[in-house]
Amino acid sequence: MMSARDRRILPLGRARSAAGLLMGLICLGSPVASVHADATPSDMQIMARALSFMQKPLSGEVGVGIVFAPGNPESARDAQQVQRILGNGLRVGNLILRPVLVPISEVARARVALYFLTAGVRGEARAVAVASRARQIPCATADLAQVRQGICALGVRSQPRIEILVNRVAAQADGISFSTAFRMMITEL
Amino acid sequence: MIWIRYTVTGRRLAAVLLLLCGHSYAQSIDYGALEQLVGEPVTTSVTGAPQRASDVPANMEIITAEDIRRSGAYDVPGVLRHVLGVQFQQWTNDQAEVSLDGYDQAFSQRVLVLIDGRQVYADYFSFTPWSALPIELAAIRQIEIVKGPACALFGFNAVAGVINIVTFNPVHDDVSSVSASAGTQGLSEGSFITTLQGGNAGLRIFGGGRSDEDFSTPMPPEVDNGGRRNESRRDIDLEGGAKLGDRGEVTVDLNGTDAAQNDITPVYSSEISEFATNAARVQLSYDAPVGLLEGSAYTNWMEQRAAPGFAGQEFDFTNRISVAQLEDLFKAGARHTFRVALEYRSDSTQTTPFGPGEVLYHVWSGSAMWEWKVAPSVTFTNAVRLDSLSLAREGPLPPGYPFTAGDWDRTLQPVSYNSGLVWKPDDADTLRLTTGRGALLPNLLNLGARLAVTPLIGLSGSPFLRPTTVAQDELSWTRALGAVGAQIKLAAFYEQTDAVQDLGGGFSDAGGAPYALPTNIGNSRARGVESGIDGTVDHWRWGLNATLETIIDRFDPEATDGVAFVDFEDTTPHVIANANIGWSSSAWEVDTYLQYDSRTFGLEPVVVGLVSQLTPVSGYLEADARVGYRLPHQITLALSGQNVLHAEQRQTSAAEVQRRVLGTVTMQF
Repeated sequence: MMSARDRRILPLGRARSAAGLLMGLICLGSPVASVHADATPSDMQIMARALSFMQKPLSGEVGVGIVFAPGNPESARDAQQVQRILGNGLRVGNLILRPVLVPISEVARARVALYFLTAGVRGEARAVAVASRARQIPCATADLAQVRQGICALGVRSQPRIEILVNRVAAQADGISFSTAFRMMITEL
Repeated sequence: MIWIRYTVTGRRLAAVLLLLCGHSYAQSIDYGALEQLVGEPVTTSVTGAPQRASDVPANMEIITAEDIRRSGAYDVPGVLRHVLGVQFQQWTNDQAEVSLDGYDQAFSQRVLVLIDGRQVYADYFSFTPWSALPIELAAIRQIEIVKGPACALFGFNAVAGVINIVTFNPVHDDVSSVSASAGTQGLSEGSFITTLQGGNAGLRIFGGGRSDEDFSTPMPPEVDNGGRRNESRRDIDLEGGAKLGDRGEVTVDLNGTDAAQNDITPVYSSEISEFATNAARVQLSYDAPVGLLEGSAYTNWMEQRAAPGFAGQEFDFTNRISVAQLEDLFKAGARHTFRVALEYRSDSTQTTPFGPGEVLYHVWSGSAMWEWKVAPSVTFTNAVRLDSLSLAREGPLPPGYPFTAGDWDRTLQPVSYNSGLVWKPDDADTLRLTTGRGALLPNLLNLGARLAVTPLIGLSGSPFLRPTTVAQDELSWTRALGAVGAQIKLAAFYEQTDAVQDLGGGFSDAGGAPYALPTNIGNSRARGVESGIDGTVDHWRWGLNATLETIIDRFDPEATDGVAFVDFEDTTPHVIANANIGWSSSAWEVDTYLQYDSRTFGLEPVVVGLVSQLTPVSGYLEADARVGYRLPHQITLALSGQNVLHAEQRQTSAAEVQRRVLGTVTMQF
């Protein structure tokens, strides 16, 4: 039989249980920081949608130069993954993105309308920036560090929360600009 | 006794009009494209700039088109009913009142309601005549609810918040459907929307009609002012838009409504109102090197006839509002966003039943918003608006009138502001600290457009009535529970209202017949907490929320305890709680919504005198529900109901609310 003391304690016990449940829910929902910079299908979708907000947007079939460093395993793996994601052509809105693998040594000669810089490229990445500026071809990446360093103008990340970065200096150098509404929605550097 | 009834009728009369104020470029934003980009709802209702819902410096809710469809409601107030922070009162079958963070009343006046940024709040009588709004549920992309004063962006009257109804854009969205409904209370309703698109242009037409009867439950004798009628509404809206090159867009919107309904007036007496509205608007936006430029202009016409009127004279309010606005939204560097706007508005209403005369004002407004991204996780937003209102009156005055025409030659210059600090310490959490202040302008009726004269007593507004000011501070926290597809929200607020306006209480005797007048009666304080959790898991969607609030009125002694026609302390429930659960498959959708309102009081007029009294309203639990089934060819059958737990239930001081059930067939094409 429950004693009077037990009965007095019960409500507090329930309160603790409820608090525990709430804390459990909160902990369950805690985000797990992602350290993986490889591009995902969502990243590519977001990148394509972001490109549609350029003030002179790309349209139709667009050759995407997947720029990778052959000697860099992370970059090579990311390149293969992006190539798989784009397949024979990824349609997003009125864009069709067709993949073209571009070793970084060939970046200045690749016949593409957009560079996509794979993850993990470090010292050699400067060649992409130089080609972008010289050929006025925008550069996008899922490796946000490349945007912060001014290599690429546009960076996207879909997890855990969609983030879109634009490096204003790089964008200006690449000859691209975005609509005002778009600029209000994203992070500019 | 008779003249008291007139008073009641007069005060609540007019209603509908469309005025537009504040920022208005919402319709030129491609919501669909931006939402697909960022993976969450997008709004322009907080700062004027397009923002992700999770980034806004305000406590807000967004109701999506799916939420609307699955609510089972057949009007906008029914959709809003179960939203966190909303107080809802069903006064008659077609008259529902909605407020934010308490302070609801018949002819609720503290929430500014907009359609695509255009005001449909009837500021000549300070309320929203929901049945007379030019809107069909199928035309709504989302409803944005911003809580707390938002006058720095939208101008007067957004003192408790803004409800912005955002429709599908004919240039960007291709939406076409037709639906028909039939149900209890003799309900029959039809609605359609169709969109024609070609090249860079689009044309959207929607409209509908509804006919029903009022609840058959008896009207309490204290409230009954004689007679009820069948209720109806019709609306039509035509909007066309075109892109102007890559950077510009123009839209033209024409609409009209008429509606007839049984009302409970702000003095808690029944009345029959007939509304007729028309509006025309043109908008032009251009994404220039100096920012997103937008110009808009519109005029709203509205007429409201209210019976039985005063001393055998019906009220016939004719209101016209014209607004012109120019604004620029731009970024300066990577961290600073600015919005600057200029606005001109003229607003006039003819005096009634005594005439000819007109009470009017002209307003010049300037506003600015500055959003500073202090750090990647911290944003600081400030907005300020200065309105300069010049009041005037034209036309003859009745003999023995206590005011002269010169009494209307006044200028009001209220300052409104909003400030918000948003901190996102990680990808899941958002903390917001906000403060705001706004003004609720005395409406044109209370400024003198309501003018009735009899040998025994007159009824008039007063040019000396002061605006009500509302200031609110709020701290809120939201946390995304990504692993379980849910979100938690907690908010605490403190709100201070000064110079509360009462429809009665004043009295003037200039030698002729005395006049009953509106007055300012004191102030009010509110403290409250909002909490909610909602989520989706596989085929399920669910939610729980509650608002706990305490209001303390500090009115003049003669206006306390329900004697005046406002008593927020006693008429706002301490607890409003909601729960919902829904399930869907490829063919079926099943949703249930529960609401609990704690015990409160309603107001009802006393038999003699310009006073009211409190009458208890027990706490109640109500439920809404909907079952939908999709057939081939994009046809959906739905059975839905409101207040389904009880055949009749007392929810206000007026007639008991009855169960409503309706069946709907919808075809998309």
